[in-house]
Amino acid sequence: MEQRAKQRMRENCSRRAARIASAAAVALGVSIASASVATTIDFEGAAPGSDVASLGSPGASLTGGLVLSETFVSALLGYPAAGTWNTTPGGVNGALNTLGAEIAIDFDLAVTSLAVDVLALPDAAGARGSVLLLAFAGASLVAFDVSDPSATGDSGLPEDTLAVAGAGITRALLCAPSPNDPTSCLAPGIPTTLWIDQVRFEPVPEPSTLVLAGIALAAFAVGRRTQ
Amino acid sequence: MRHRHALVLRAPSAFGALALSVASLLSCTPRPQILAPADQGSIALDGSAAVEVSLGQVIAAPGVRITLLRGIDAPPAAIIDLTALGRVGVAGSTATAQLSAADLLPGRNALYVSLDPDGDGRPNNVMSSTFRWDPLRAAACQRKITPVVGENHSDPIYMAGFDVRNPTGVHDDLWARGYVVKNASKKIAIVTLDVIGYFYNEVQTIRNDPALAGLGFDAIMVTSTHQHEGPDTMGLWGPDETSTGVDLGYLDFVNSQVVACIVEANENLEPAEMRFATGSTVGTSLPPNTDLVNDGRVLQPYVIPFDAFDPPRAADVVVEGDPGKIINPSVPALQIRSRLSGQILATAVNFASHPESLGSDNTLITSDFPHYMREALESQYGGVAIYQSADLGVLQGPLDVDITDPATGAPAVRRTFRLAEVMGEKLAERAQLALDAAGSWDANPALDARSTGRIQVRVENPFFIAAASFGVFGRRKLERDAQRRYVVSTEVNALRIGPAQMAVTPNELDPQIGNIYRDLMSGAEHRWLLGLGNDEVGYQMPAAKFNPSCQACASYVIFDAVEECPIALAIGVDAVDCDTIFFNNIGPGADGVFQGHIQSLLGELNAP
Repeated sequence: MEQRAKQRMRENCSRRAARIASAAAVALGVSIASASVATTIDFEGAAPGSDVASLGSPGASLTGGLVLSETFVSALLGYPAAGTWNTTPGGVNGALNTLGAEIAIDFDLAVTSLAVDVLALPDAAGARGSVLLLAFAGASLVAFDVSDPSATGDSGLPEDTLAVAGAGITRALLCAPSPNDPTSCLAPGIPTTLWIDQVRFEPVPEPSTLVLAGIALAAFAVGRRTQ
Repeated sequence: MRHRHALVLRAPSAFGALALSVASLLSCTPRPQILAPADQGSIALDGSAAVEVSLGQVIAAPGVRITLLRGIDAPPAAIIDLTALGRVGVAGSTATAQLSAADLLPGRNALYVSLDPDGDGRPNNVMSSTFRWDPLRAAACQRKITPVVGENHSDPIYMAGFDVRNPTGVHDDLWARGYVVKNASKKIAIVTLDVIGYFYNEVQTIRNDPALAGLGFDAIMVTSTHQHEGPDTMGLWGPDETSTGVDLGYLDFVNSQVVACIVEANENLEPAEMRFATGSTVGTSLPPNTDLVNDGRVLQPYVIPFDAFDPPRAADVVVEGDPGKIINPSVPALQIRSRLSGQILATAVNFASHPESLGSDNTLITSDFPHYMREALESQYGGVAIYQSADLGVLQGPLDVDITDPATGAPAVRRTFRLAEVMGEKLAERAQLALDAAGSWDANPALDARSTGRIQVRVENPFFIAAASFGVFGRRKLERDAQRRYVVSTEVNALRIGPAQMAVTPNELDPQIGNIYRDLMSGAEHRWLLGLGNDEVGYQMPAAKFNPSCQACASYVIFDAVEECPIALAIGVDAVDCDTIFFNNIGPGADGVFQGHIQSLLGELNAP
């Protein structure tokens, strides 16, 4: 009886430990999930006409772009942009590459994926334009994507979502592609060739986060075995 | 805008490459281009800029739209539709317009051109050009002017300011420090020297230096801090009353350093902005002199009967006493910041106190408390810190001021480097407080400079006339006017830099007169007095306060027989007042002359 009671107590303790371990694993998993949730820069809240470099965006700094609202785009360029250029629900702002031929995105921490909504303005010859996304790990080009100039959006201009993935992306460039080499930017570059919105990226989990993830998985496995 | 793709890695598609090839073929057609203003370029200081667009084809005017976005660096940005305002001209395949300062804001502005030849409301081409308009350019400079025997000074060096002293070493370097500011209308250089005073003829030598010719300066101001612990640059502190203490080779050296300083600043001019403030020293020191400065000579009322003079004067001379201690505790300050790097280029501070805190026993070369003020400000902000003396005569100074030493909690010992340090840091603290509380940076401050040019002012002081005849003043010579009276050439100036106005006076100005000048700066938020500006002709006090007894008895004073002077017989020998303030000036008539000129110049600056 006493032996059985002690055995029951041990089993209860083990189950309690397993539940605690599982709960910890779930908590850690949530923590990891939240650490790798994509960050989005949508340019909303910034004053139209301001430099993207002044945004103070979390996780990345941008240069070369000018934040504009659809209203500003219409007034400056003459396109009927209202309701058709922005991709943020309820939003009105995006960024035009007026302050440089390229919009550069430098990430605070390396990212594993990047997606950007783009709209291509006519190229210098008046033809339908496209937008090139180059992704670098340090100085090395690791991925690229180019928009489809024939994919007309509701703006009447080519629209697309460019996406790249890979380990350790630290920098990205958005530019007009060179006609001779579609994996490089037009040189010399020309400003006001592209509009971007909804810059989304996922950071590489930090080593400490990976260790925690390992502990969480181990604890989860232990918990399952014990139960 | 629609989302079409999922988050995937992919290479360029075939249709993309095809489109690029088509675009490549189309590149043979003439491409529209903004020829001016150039993208990433800068336009003229006055903001005028011609817009020229090559359309690539003949397009009717309605198909050309030119707009301007201003205020990228000074939100909120605003749009000017040049086309809608009828300011765009289209002729054949060229479109033109004209921009002016009224269209722009300092910093980056962006011009957009969109071409819609078929008029469907969807432009076939868009172009932009982002250009800078930086209406203010500025730079700072500094050059050492520490006297070194055998290098830039002969032996011995005589120290200025008190009795005969020869230096035994260098505590801290002496400097020429200044800045240059330039906009579309004016270009001004202000350099301040750590010396007792610098004569007009030397300033003219600097201005006429070939290295400065052709640089287009509207005003070059050279002022002195009036520090009393450096080399004699005026000649008055030589081995005896008839021998000069000035070394002409050293003056040549200083002149060359000032020229080099201005040339360097001119070469380094960069887009800049300024902020202005006025602080106060009230409450920074211990009673009874609580404002970091004391009035060293409170005059008593006095009447000298006219018959005491020979020849007799028209009326009794009334020497009005001061209504108590007179000081100026204001601390106008300005800062210049680069619009490119964001770095502070210069911090200038204006204060009315003799830099003589070390007193007459010190024999180490030093720039006195301005040295510590500058160190403190440079430590805080970087850049070049500049101390510029204000209306520090008659004898406003630190000799009787007690300041709590933060290291001990006790008053810093007077006439020590520690007191100079505490005083300099207090002054820096007040300037910093004022600057940090100042409003926004101004990238387009108005600049103006008014000058009398060379004027002649009568020298009535017989001591100065005698000293000049012995060559005491070095290269500074007295001249004669049409009536064969002794005169001295000098200059009075007034400057406007943004919300600050500056009266540049060639002497040590009594703050009573300084207050009159400040009142005349009616349009200024910040009122500077650049004392010892471009010259040093001694103290300037209100004529009614001028006691002429010493100068009237000059010949008796020189031969040590003042008791024989008729005035002394009339008013008593002890009443013959030969204090430094009645000795070191060019005469009572100078006050009216200088006040008249300043009134006129400030009137011009503030004219509607």
